[in-house]
Amino acid sequence: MKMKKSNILIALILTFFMTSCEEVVTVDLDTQAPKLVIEAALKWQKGTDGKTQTIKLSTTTSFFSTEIPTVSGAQIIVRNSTNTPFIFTESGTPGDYVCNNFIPVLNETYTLSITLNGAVYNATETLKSVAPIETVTQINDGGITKNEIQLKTFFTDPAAETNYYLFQYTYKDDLYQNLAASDDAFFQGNRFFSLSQKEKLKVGDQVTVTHYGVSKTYYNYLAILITIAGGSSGGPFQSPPATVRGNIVNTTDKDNYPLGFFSASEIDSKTFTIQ
Amino acid sequence: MFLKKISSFIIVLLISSSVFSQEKFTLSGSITDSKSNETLIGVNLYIPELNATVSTNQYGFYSITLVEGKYTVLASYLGYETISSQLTLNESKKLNFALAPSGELLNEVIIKDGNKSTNIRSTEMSINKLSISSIKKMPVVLGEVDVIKSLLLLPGVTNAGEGASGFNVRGGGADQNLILLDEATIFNSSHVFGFFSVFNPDAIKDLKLYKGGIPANFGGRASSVLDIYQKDGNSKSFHANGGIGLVSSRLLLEGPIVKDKGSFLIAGRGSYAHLFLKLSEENKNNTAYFYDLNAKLSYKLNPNNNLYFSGYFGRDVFSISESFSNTYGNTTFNLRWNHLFSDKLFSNFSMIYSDYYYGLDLNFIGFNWSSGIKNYNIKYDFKNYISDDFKLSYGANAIYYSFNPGTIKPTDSNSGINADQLDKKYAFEPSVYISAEHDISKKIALTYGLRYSMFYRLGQSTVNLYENNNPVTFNTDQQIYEKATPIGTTFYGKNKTLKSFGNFEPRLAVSYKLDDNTAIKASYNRMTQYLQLISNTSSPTPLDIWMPSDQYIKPQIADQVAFGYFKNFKDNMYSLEVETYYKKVQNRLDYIDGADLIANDAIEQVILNGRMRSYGLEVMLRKNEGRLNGWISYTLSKSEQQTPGRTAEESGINNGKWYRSIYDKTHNLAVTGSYKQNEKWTFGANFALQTGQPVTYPTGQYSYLGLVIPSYGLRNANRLPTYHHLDVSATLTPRNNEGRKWKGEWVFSIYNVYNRKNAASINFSQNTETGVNEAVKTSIFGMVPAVSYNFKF
Repeated sequence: MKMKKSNILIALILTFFMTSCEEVVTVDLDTQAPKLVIEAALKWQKGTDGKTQTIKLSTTTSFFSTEIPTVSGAQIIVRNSTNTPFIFTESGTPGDYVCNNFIPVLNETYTLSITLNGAVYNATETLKSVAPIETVTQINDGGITKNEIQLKTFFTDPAAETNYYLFQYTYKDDLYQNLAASDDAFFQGNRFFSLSQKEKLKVGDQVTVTHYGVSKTYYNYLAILITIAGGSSGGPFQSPPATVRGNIVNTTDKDNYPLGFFSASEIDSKTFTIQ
Repeated sequence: MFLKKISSFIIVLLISSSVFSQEKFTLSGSITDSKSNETLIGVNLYIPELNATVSTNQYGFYSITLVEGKYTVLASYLGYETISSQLTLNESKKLNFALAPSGELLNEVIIKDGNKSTNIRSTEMSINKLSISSIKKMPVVLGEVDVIKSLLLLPGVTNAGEGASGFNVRGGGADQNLILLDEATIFNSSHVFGFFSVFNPDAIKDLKLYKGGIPANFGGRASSVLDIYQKDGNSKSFHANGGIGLVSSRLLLEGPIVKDKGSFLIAGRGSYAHLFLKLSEENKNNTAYFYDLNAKLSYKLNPNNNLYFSGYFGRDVFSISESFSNTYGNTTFNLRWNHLFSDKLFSNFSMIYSDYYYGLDLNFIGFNWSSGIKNYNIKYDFKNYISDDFKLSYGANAIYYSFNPGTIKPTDSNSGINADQLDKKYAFEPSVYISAEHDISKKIALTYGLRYSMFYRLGQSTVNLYENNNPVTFNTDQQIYEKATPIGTTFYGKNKTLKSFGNFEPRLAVSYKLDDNTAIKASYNRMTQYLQLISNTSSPTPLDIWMPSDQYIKPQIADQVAFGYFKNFKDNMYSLEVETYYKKVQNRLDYIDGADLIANDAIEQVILNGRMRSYGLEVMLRKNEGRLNGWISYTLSKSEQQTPGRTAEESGINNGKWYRSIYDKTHNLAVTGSYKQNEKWTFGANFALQTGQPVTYPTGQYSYLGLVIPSYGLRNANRLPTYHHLDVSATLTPRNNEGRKWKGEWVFSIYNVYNRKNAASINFSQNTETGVNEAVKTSIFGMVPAVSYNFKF
């Protein structure tokens, strides 16, 4: 479990002073040369066959750009431990590569291989299981201020092993996502919950919660990724922004590494309408 | 064994010192404020016949040994009338001086004679003294007089901006400052995360900041020492003073226990801004306040023995509804015994306790957390005033630490959080030192000393073992540092030594007098810091924990050289100080990407030992006298950090390159002044301008899991916009004060007159409503007017 220290502190300071002000400013930023971004997150919803999987290729672009460039023309193959190939082919959406005959198996090891413009990118990952979602409950006096609608999604952490989770809350017709990566250090073997922390939810809003079982390396990656997605620079509680290196290696040119991660997760998901 | 060594060491010194004295007599005594009997620190005694000087120590004591003769003794101190006394020294004499405050009228202060050339003669450099009266004249945000913020106007001192805690000295971290309140270590110097300091200005007598040339009696931190003395209390008559401000109010009571022999002082301060919170519907269940208490008892047993007891207790309390609450603060106690073995040998024995406590309740997830540090310290210091040109200081010190890195508890039975106690840590830090002040000739003065510090990390503790002794591994595929998995553990029983260190810390300072008003000086010091603050933010937060050095965390070792040019003009009306310094620190901690520092029981797995260097030029021009006084200070400096890979395969942090530390401020200009218009009005103004804080801006973005992820290049390659503000104040002392017992004054101030919105941070993220990426600047204070009322009787 990670607490976002700076957010807590800043909230407290605001409580004390009720001052401080925020404004949108113009900042000149340098732009690095584009880097390949591989979003290869294999997801297997409990109770489904998990045959259809999508891998997305894109590149980095300037921070204020409104378009994310996609990457076409790659050959993508995922293999299981018995070397069965699952071929991903580019679909109608540029940059989206789809496979329709994937066979997900818990704790199976998969290898990703992407060939693009003469370079070969490789990664290996194990498909992790996740504890089932037991119930989603709505709280009307939630949040730090006790007047927010919050959702708690309960599950029972398997004892006697270290588990890593990604908790994702998405909200219908909203770009905002509530993501948290957690290990079970504080709640090993207990019934615990994830929290939807979006403010100002109202009756009728649709919320989808997804719990992912993730590997330790993916957990480490997500922990950094979620922190920098907030994008803070400066201030007394600034911590240095990290470079988020994933597990995919450019075997042709190691220094020209791609961003993104090859992950394989069992997931459990529920959609809830605020009452 | 250890104590034996020390005692034999001291005996040798006592014997050797008696060999020096022949045909000479000693003049000694103490110097106090004539109105309150408060001892005065750093008063200059000047004997024109011999051009000899001595100044009072932190207990107001002085001693000087001279050949038989007739002398004039001038005692002078800023803000006091100079006293001149004629005497015939044909036997050793005690001579106490009681200096009268110079009518509290700075424009009438005449410090012409005695003060001459003391800053020129002495080897002291890189040291700034601030009297509490000058600190009180500076305009401050919300009218809260702030000891720590006043330091930011000095050359070589910066912080991470408005609301940031601590301070950075010569490009060092805030954790590298040793902050002492009556000798007790203060581990967190801030209230409200850094907006205010924990020191009640009414209870403070004096402070001294050592930025370099640190004498051998201090140790334990790499960068600086801030030595703060509490007032003793008035032993002549009962007095009270206090103030009412927008944020907090203060009350101080002092008076005699036994007239002229014993005194007490008790001071309290509390904030009440939280009461305003109750007024708004949204915040009615929230509280946020701080308070602190200072107390001191002083008692003069007889002319050769004084006892002092001092204490401090402070807390910050925050809570938001019932879901979140947070308490933290420092506690200190100190019992001191001053004893004169002879009129030449002064000693002080101290027993000190201090602690820092942090507690956090997160009810909404059922989580309770507490952490802290305690230390028990005994010190015995001696100063032997052997002759007018040779003084010897020596002493020993032993500190026992107990660290609680974290206790985790569920807040109730259905919380789902497991109780946990992170491994408590213990350590012992003994040290001995000896230091000489030696005037070699009329022109050359030397201070040379040596400190030997030791550190024992003690059990009971279970220590993780790692392959190749390496708690951090490097993943060559991903090119990232990762936590290593322990291959086993070793258990150390209670008081068993896990790891020990010993370091010699030489100190040297020399001054060369070019003429009566000009000197050049040089100094070198080595400092060892065995305690590390685990923090990767740009200024410390109350949650940060202290960790002792051990197998995996090495002590920081700092070496600093400094050169200075000092000149007084126009009969000391003006003084100019120019200094340059170069400092390097070994074993500065750096953190691997994504390091989790809260509730981490194996911190060694997320840290790397790096290094730090800083250098700079400081200029300070001060006007010491007259209606208008104040100073201009300018610093040009650089502060950098490097954590190279441990092997050729490893990337290190920031590709192993030197990078700007977050304390790097190229330019730092501060102007402060006060002007006494007449008896009624005094005006003050500050202007501060600093290069923006180093930050890392994104050099691109990409999409992952539907999130906008900024991508970053090299660390700290960018800077926030330049930081500056102008503050003014006006103090009104009503004329009807004269002759009355009750004296009041009004202080009106405006912080940030031209409403500069200084950037505290700039956030780069997606506006989730519009879907567009934005840079959002947060600023904390705009223009802040304030008024406060102070009184005394």
